[in-house]
Amino acid sequence: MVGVLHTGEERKTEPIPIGVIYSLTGNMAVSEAPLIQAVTLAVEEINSAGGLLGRPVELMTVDGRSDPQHTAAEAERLIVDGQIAALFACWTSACRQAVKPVVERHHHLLFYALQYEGLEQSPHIIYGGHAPNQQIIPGTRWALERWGHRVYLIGSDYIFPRTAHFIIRDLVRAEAAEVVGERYVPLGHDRMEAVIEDLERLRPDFIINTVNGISNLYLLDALHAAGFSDLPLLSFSVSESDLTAMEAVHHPRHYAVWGYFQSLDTPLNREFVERFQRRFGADRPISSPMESAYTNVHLWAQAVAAAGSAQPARVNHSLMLQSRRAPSGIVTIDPATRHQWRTFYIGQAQEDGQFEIVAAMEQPIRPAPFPSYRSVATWQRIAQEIAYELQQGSTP
Amino acid sequence: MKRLLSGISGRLLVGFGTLVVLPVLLLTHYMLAAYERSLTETVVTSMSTLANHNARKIDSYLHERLTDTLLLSQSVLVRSAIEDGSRDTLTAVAREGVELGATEPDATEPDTSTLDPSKLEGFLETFMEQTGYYDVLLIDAAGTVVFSIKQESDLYTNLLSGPYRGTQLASGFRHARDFLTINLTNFDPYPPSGDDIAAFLVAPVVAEGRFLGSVAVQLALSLLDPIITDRTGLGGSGEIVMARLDGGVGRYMVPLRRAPDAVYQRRIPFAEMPPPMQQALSGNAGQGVTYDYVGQEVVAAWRYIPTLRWGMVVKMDAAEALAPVTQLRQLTFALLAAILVVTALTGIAFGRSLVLPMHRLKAVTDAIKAGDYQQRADPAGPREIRQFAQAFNAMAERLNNARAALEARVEERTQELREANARLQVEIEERRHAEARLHHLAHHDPLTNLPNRHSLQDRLTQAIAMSAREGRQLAVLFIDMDRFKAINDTYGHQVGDQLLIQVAERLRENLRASDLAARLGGDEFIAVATQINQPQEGVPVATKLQAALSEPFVINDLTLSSTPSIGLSIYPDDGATAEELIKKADAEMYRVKRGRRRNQDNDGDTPVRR
Repeated sequence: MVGVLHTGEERKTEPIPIGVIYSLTGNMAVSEAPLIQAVTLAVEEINSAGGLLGRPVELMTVDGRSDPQHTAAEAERLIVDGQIAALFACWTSACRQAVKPVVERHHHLLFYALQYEGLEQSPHIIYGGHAPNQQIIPGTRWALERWGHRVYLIGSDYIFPRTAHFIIRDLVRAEAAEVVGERYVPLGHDRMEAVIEDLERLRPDFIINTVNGISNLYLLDALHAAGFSDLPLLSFSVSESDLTAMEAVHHPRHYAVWGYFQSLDTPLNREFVERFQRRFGADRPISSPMESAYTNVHLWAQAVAAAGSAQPARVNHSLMLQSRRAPSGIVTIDPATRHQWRTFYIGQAQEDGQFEIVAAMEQPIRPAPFPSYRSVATWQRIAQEIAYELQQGSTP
Repeated sequence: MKRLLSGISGRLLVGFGTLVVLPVLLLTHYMLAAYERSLTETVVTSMSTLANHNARKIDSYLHERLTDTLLLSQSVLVRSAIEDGSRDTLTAVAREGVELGATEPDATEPDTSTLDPSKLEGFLETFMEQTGYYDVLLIDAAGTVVFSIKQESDLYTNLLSGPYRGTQLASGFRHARDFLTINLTNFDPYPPSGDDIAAFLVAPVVAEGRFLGSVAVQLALSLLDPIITDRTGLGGSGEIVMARLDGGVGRYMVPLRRAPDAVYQRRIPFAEMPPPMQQALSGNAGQGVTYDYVGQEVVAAWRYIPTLRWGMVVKMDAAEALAPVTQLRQLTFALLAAILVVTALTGIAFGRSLVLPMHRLKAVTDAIKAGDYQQRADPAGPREIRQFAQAFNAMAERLNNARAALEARVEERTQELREANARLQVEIEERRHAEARLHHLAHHDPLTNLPNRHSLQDRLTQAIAMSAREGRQLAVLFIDMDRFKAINDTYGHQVGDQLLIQVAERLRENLRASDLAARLGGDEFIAVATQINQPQEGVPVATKLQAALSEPFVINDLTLSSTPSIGLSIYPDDGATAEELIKKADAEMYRVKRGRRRNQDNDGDTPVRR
């Protein structure tokens, strides 16, 4: 009897481990490192409210080193050796696609916090960022309505920008507009001369930017240096974190499309920002992926509580239709797509590194990882083609 | 209360209450609370499961409709119909100049159409019948409704500029066009359908990257009825409540059981919505015991339905859901009451079994106190009290015996005392007699029993005092018997004594009660006549005594004669004191005696007053 009670007690207080893999080193560190803080804040909130099923949640944090393969290996290690209940990892689609087979093989659960290109739906991933129809499509529409019909596309050379550009081209074509130029630079690339040359030659009405990571800083510096500060710039992967990392914000017509901005003026968000900055420093900016990472942990916790178990399989089922009033608005997990209903905002970069919200979709938008104007099968074929092109491109 | 607690019965009652009722009450309270908690948890969990089930049912139902619409939007038939319809409309407008919306589709001759309208109609009608949609509409890229099964007044109007630009259909169209995404509009009254509440699923139709228009499916609110009115697992009081928020104002989207007229029309500020609905509309999921829209306590689970942007509350009256608790509580309270009664009765019975023998004991004690020592206690009741009664009886017995013995001794003593008293009385009497005799002997002459000289002194002094008070006079007569010495010597002193006794008798006989007679000694006697008013009044007394004493005395066989000599003195004439008067009378007697001796020949001189 005593033994039974003892093990019962042990089981009750034994922590629930969750795995967190974001890059603390490498070219993605500047963007990804703050996500660990966002996850930490959510876990601390859960634990200070009594934990989950009476057990504390324990963070097992690993450096992803900006390397998808390393991240995938670490994910496997955490799942097998760490016995984690869920995995919160990846910024880039390259990383997600590397980890995807791992979580699928182990019937595990990955929470992805980034807006991405869509065209994917794994039964073991919760897509906690924005699908293309929640960011790329409305953002591009908004820009096309305002700035003209001649678009220049710049992106990092990997899966997200390539797919995003494909969708943007659809929209541009539907509006009878024109993509005047398109360029991809490698992740972490710091040479923007070719881009500047393109711009000087093509003189587009505006730029759509899907560059990721530290290269954004080089791009913005290069645009400023070449006198393109007044050229409208719509970025899909530049956040408060990136702006704050810059010496100065020189681009007054720089707009970003996100599901969340730190400047969002709601009581819930003000409280969230205050809590975060009290914990990690008043100068720490909060970006949309951070808000997503934070909200994902809470949604996972809700699902664990609802399922009465932290087992990934049970939580995976219980996650469907979980909803929450998050700092960004009402977030719901859509069972049909495993993506989230989310609001979107367009913000204008301010000198203090914040964005001022200039447009918003008040009601959460249904996620459509495969934009509905093509069939899923067509999109899957397109995704395969893009992946093939990338492979071809990467081999010299 | 204090009085109750001071007695054994009261204490026993309280004791029993503490021993039995209190633990039972505590246990019951704990068990009931545990049961209620566990039942509440179960009911809340099942309510939560139902809410999940319904939310998923609605979500998957709408997702199916969404998929239907998407398939429709991607079908070649619809695509070409929109392209053709759009051309036809333009042609019709251009050729006939008719106002948009006034043209019947049949009225136009599609000259370049590659589509058989009846084929499209047949296809869509079948589609509608199978799915239960109200209408299917096709809208071209410019926003003109080019096809409708129902052919209501919206047909051929432009949704961007026409009369229905403010409808949900128009907003759905704009969204589909702008975001190339299928969307479900809000449920609102739709004027072309007679203001029936409807929502639209609007999907963009895209071909070769070109936006051709949209396909819209009109859904009546009643389409959701099968789901909403499904109260499986909700008991008799359960219901599913749906509401949405329009800029801070809530609307109920389904008829409410307890407020049937509240559906859609009534607008309720968010703050006045019941707490679970507020939560649901805020996007939060949850479950628990809370209150519904009429303040009824309910077990509820609330969810946010993203597709509809509605809040859903699945609920059941707590009274019904938790009825087993109420029943158990009633049963428990009844049992508790029974236990209480039994305990109280047992307590009272115990109390009585203890108290009654004690009462009887006390009654006996009281009787004994009042003096009835024969009373004895009845040795009944519990052993201790029985022993106590026996001990008491033994004690009473002993006390009674001791008391009887004491009484006997007291009686004995009293008798002794009484006898001693009597003896003492006799002694006192004897002593008094002795004293009186002594006193008599001291004041009287033993032979004649006449007062002696000493006594005479006192009595005469008293008589003088009385006469002085009364202003009277007093005569003292000194009497001496002549020849007495001779008689005494001749016949013996016994005869002399007899003579003296007879003299005394004669003196007593011839004097008044108030007068005095005394013997001074030998043959000398004194007589005192009181109450005389003249000195002469003494003489008759002397004469009377002279006569009386001159009579012969018969003693034994002797007849003797002796003549008295009498001297007379009068108070106050002859003296103021007894001595003076006696001395004077004495002197007078001697003078008489001497005179008689001188006149021996003269027969019997009568003493005279000089």
